[in-house]
Amino acid sequence: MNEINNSGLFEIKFKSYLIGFILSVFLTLFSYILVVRKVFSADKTILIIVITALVQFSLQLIFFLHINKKAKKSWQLSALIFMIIVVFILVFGSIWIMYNLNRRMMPTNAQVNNYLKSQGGGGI
Amino acid sequence: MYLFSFLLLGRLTLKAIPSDTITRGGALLVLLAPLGLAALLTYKKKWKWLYKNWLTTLDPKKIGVMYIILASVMLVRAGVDALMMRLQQATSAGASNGFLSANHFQQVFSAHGTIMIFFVAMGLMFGLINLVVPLQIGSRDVAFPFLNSVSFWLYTAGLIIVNLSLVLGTFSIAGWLAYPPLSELKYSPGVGVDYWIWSLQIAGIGSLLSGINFIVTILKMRVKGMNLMKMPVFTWSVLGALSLVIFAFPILTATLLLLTLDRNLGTHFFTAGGGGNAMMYVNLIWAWGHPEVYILILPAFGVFSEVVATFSRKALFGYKTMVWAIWAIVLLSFTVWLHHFFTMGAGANVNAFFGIMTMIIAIPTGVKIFNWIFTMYKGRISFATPMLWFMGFVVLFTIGGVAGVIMAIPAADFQLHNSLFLVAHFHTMIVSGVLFGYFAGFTYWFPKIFGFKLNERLGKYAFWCWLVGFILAFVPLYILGMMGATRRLNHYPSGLGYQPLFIVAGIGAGIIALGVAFQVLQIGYSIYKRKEYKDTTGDPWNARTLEWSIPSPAPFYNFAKRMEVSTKDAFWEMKQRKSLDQGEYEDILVPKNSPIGMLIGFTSLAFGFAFVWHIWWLSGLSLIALISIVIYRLSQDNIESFISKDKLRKLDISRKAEG
Amino acid sequence: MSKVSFIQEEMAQRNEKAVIGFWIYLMTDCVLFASLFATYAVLHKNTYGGPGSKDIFNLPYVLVETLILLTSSFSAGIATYSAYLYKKAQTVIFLIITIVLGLTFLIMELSEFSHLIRIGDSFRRSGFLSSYFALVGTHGMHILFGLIALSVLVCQIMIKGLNRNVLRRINLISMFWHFLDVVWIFIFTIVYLMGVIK
Repeated sequence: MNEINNSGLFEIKFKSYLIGFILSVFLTLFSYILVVRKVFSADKTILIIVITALVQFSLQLIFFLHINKKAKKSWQLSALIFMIIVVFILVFGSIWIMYNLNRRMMPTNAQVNNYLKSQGGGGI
Repeated sequence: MYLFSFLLLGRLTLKAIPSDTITRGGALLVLLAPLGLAALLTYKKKWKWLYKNWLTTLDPKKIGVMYIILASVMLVRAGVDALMMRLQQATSAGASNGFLSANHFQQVFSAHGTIMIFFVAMGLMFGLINLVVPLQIGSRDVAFPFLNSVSFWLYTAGLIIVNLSLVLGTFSIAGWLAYPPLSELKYSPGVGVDYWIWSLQIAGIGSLLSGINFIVTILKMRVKGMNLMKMPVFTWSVLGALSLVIFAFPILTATLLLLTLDRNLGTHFFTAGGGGNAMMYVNLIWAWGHPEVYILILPAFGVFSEVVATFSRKALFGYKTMVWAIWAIVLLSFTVWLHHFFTMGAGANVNAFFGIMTMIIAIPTGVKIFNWIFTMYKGRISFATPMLWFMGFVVLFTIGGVAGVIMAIPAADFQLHNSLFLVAHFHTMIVSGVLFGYFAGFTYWFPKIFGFKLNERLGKYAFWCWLVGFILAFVPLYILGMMGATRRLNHYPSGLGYQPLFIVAGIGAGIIALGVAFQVLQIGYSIYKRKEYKDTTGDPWNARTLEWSIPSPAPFYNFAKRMEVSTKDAFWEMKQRKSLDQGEYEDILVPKNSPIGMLIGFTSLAFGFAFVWHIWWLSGLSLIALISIVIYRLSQDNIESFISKDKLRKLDISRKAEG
Repeated sequence: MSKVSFIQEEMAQRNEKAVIGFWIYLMTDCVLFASLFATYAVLHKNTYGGPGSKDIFNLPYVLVETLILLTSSFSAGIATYSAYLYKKAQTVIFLIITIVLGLTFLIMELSEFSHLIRIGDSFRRSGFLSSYFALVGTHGMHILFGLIALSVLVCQIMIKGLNRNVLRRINLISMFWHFLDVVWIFIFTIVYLMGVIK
């Protein structure tokens, strides 16, 4: 009875949830403490917490969302990888484009003043 | 009194009814067409038939037919918009102002673009996918039949909202992509942009659901033995296009959501002040918009791959390169979106990157063109109508593609951006690529769905009208673009030498209209002669893929027997080895008809309409209704009927005796 | 093949299709969130004279929210596990725990929002605040829909017991709930933690 009804669904183990939960709590607290206590410089902290987030992301995929060997067979992994590529292109592409545009097209008043002065004119 | 009316009807007042003659005529048509249809149905006592066989159906073939009918009606509707624009531009030089006001002209071109992309091209695409994909992969159904009906009705709801704008209020004047700040509340305070947002939002969610549905269908429901590299190329191209749908449409959903928030809650995403950034909208909408054009074109490429192989009596040249070209296009199409706004001010490095990516994406497309031509080489070509559409496509598409590569050079784009050269370019791509492709597919698969072929002679007349009309309509636009004419001109000075070219373009549009008339005539005449044109073999074109192995019109269970295939072009192989009609009968489950998809569509329509007019009680109510309906559907248990293999055998045998 | 075993095979296929279909839906939702993240990344400096991220975020409060959501994700997993063991009461209890935790999270988020709106830092204040409200608010909307779905599921278990359809839905809804937690990891890190650093 049991097997028939689960077929096609995930295999589920209590242990994997527990491991996933404990590790996630640990990583969340780790990032939090790192930021609050200001252990490292700002840039280093950002790098570390982003890596921590990515690790926690992978852990939750494996332990909560059952991304494993079976997922590879059932196309879940392919869809996931495709999604990550698209998200990467979208987010970093947008940031690249928009910061470039902002720098060139949306100067602050001070920048406009400096530019005008450098061209020998008055400010605004 | 005012407060009461506002609570009850939002900003909907008597002023919403159009006042000028042309709009009134349009409104009257939009109202009279369904009323006339309703009267006819009542007179013929066909309501029950319509409800039982069509409106509540979960059969993808019937849903596909409904998509195509609606899309064809919309083709005429947006085609009239095109004719109005051509007439306006041909007559509005110097002292003459033409027959449209500037505001009306803006509404017309916005509606033309929106409807042609979302409700014609997408509609024809999903129609063909519904008709063909399950048959081609040897499946009895789609993965989620009920969801498929929901998708269709969401598409219909979006379509109705767009057309309601003719009757009540006005449509957007902000172009087919509604760039802010023009589309913000400050500059477009009326209902036009809201109509645009909600028709796209609702139809877009429908497309997204349809995308998921057919991807799962293709991945999970192929006939035994058909591994990926044995799939027909049309199915491959649909898989590619729908992969783009599922990853591009959420961007559209998010962008429209943010614009809605700007317009309704006073946020500052894309506003000119308040820390908003209108350029972000342009960035996001094109991150969806560029994949969108490949969504439309890829299935058309798939259609051509089937058509060329069938009518050249040869296997498709370079199957593997074809597949890889599809996936190269899928991936690259996410990396070129900035070429739509080279002139917005990005630095040379950014522009150069996207310019180069744009040139690179032309390569897999070129590979496909060569593959088709090599398929024809030394083939025994028969010049049936689908093949003619293909050959027209190859010529025009290559010209349009070269124009596109010219514009991929940022320096050149600074001259050509937003000129009529651009308009001519993308019409060449979309008309010759997308429309010709779907026309070819429609003619090709028509006998499989309806059981009789379309008249060839009228089809050829239609093709030649489209081809000649197209060249006359759009070659002048290339020249005008070079001369400096910008897009969306409703009036220009007379001394520029534009007018003769605009008149030629207008004549071209008229010839295209004649082509559409021939298509209507072709369908009407073929229905009239349906007994003579009957397809008794199930394989009228001597074709290669599985859908032709079953009788025409395809029965509701598609395949009576469980088959197994071992090669690509499986049906062709079966015919060569004379091993047709193999396999065993088996029990099947068929989903029962359900009116709930239609209910969800109309509730969404009410929601969107209420949001457009700020009738808050109605939008709240329809949202609650929507959730309740979904919960009700999820609680239904007995949603399919069982057909035993004995019954299936009887059905099949009687079916074949008929054929 | 008997009718019963035929239907069982059919159900297994249906489960498989449902899982992959729902998974693809979750992937599309990721792209939706990615668009909002991109918007946040572009607009987060546009404070328009209003407060910046450093001025409005209350990190300990957000940490509590995060841990509550994480625990609810865990309990959703346990509910699924219990359903597999055919322990109806246990399943219902853990689903209710999930709902309560989710509701707590949502209420905390809403009170954070209403606090900001009360002190004049609403979504109308600046591009930064608009994008913040949109990103976190969209997550909150998803939580709300998840809560509705969980409640319906509890009712279905009570009425119909743990039949095939219900079992499949428990799987799908717990996937949805875990997914919301995954999205929250990035909101927590990128919006809150990184917002406080700079």
